[in-house]
Amino acid sequence: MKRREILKTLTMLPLAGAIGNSGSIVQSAQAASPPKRDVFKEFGLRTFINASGYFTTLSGSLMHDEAVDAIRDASKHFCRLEEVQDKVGAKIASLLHAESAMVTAGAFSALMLGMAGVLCGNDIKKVSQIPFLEGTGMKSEVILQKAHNDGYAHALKNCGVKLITVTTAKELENAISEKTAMMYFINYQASLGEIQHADWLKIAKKHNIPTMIDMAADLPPKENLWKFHDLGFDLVCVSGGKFMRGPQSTGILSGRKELIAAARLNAPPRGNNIGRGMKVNKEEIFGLYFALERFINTDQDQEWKMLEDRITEISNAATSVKGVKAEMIPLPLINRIPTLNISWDKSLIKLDNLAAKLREGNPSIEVMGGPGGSINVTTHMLKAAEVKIVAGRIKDELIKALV
Amino acid sequence: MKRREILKSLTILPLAGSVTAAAAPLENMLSAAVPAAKRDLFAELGIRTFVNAAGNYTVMSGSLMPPDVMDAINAASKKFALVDDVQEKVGAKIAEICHAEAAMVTAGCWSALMLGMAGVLTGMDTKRVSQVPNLAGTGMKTEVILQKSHSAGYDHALTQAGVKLIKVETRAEVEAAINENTAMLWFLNREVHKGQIKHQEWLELGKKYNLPTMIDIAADVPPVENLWKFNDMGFDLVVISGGKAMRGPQSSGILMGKKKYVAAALLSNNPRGGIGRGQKVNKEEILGMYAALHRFVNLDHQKEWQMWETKIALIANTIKSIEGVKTETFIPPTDNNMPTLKVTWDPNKIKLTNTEMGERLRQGNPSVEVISWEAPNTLRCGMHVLEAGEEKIVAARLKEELLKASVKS
Repeated sequence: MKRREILKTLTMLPLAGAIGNSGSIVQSAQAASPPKRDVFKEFGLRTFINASGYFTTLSGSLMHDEAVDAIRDASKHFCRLEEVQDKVGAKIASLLHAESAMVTAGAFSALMLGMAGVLCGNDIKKVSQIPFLEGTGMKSEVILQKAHNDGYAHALKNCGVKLITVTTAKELENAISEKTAMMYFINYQASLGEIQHADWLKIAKKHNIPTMIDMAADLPPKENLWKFHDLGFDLVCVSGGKFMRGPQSTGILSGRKELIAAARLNAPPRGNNIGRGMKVNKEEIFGLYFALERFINTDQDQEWKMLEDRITEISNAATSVKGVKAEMIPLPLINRIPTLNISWDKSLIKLDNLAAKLREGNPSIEVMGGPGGSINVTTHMLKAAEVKIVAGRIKDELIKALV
Repeated sequence: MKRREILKSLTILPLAGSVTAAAAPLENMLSAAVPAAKRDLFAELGIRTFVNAAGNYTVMSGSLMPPDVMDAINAASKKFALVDDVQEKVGAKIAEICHAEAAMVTAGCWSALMLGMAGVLTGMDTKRVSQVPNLAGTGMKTEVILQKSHSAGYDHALTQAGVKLIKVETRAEVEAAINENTAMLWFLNREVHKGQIKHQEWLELGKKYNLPTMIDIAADVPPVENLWKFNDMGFDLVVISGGKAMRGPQSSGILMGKKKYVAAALLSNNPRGGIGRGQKVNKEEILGMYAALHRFVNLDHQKEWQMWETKIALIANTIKSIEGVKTETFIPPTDNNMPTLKVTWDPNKIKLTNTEMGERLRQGNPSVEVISWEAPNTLRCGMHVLEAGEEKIVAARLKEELLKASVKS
């Protein structure tokens, strides 16, 4: 309970003389915690209402109280980091239907550490040699589909491997050699590639090659958290700071026990390895775990409906202005959440850059730019009271620009 | 203030009839407003917590963040802001405090080493950013020179940006090693006493050959002045850990120095892709790091030092009369430069190895961690990581175990 809330509660008490004594408790409570600093103001930082999404540049998501409380509680005691990873990892693994799991400094870090684990096994000398694989006896190639080669595969290259891209199953079979370390699959681009999850796994099994799937931002649905383990992927990477709303600098690497153990040889608190710079502290590990637990226990149908109701409210406000069109866009490949596109008839409304107007307004609001100067709005990062503000601000700017 | 504490305060009230009337509604309101009993996450997961009388070790989760830092983290968690904005504005304040042109918060000192190295290699060329650590054929420089005695494990961070380490001993060897592939001259402050070439001469060589210099001062505060000393001396980049004596988030550090290198380092870092994308540091940690730095430079360091000495005296006085036990104050000269208590014992009078002693303290209740791995029949206790009052626990536990192992004469 915070000081402000306590004081608020206390002011509700009848101020009869008889309770003068208990009034002194309030004073000692005040003395205990001096006025909070407004860190954003102090630095002149622009804060904003996020109607855009859980993008890393926008600082990801806002943690729920459960995660922030866990961070605070974790900060009170010393403990061994390895033990935190062991025990929180075991709990996460059981939630995810995985043999084992670890918390990383984001999904990118999970990709790198998983890759490093695959390369080095339990050989400490190899750990220290990554990313310079030549002459070490480590395998040096990763195969992926051409359509899956977006920027994130760079994480694998940071471990020194070469990316071999293929299009067809036949090309895949041909590309497999004694140098092949792993077969990598990126979930959000599955529909763009010829080879789907099950076939990818089948070919990997046939050649006894470990598989990794990157599903960084592919929540909801929450079932994705275990689906890919159940399917048979050896390693699964997910971001913690997006829809799950854990600390923005966290992620999870989960999968086969020996691979997670090997990945951990490459991670802090150990040094002389590729992961030492990717530190994740005990506070973040606990914070992520509590966020995950909350996320799994959330009624996602109800949450989805809430997101749609919010969209409707914003849509109604915008379309009350003449010449404005608002429609849900088909769910994109990545960040699959209800998204509203708002566009307008440019002969009726003279407005070039609504996104900039919203950003520069008070309060500042971030939305995504859509095609032809339109905007895209999402509602999952809004606090309840912000829905009205976003609806009102969009409407205001559109009215202002009416010819 | 936690509910438990409020209730504790309430029990201190005189239980006169006139007060119960007030206490009753207050307690009702509290129990209504506050969620059910808080979860103890350490107990829930069966994780051993301990009294840390060792030091700021990463394996032991670094340091405990003081309330100022936790308040900043908590406040930072409530609003969205651009990560770039946070880095830029917090970086500017940190730079000002530390007499640097620019600064950024990283995911620890290791991350600062790697990102600083990457910045030196790439400059503002984003193509090069995407090529690190595969430097061959890119036109980037490929070698870093350091003294042999400074090669203590942390230089490994530099190699992750793709460079080769060239290790030398004498000035003549430095001059012979410098060539068109030389990217940087690197210095590890902790090992200054072991190397032939000291700070000034190292900087002079950098100037003479127009090569950037970097110094690693990971655990080398206090003294607080070290935060700016090396920027003042002229090092182009300085790296330090945030989660040690400064008591910032354990997974934070600072890279500071010349603007052009820090700006370039940012290109390899989150929120961009590149070699540093996996070394994420969130806005909570950046603002927490700043709050820790701010607190640290405003601390009365003399008073802190005295407090540590008082704690050492208390523990020493509790155990030094035990036969065969010797105590002394030991102050590490460069890194972790704070007074510690060194306890040694005569193995004929006390039948206990240092390892056994460490294990018994660890297994006790409360569990206590000390430095028990340095020398036979010796252990060392750090004071700066103790919470208020814990020195009494350490004193009592040491006494108990030493007496238990004493040979009866």
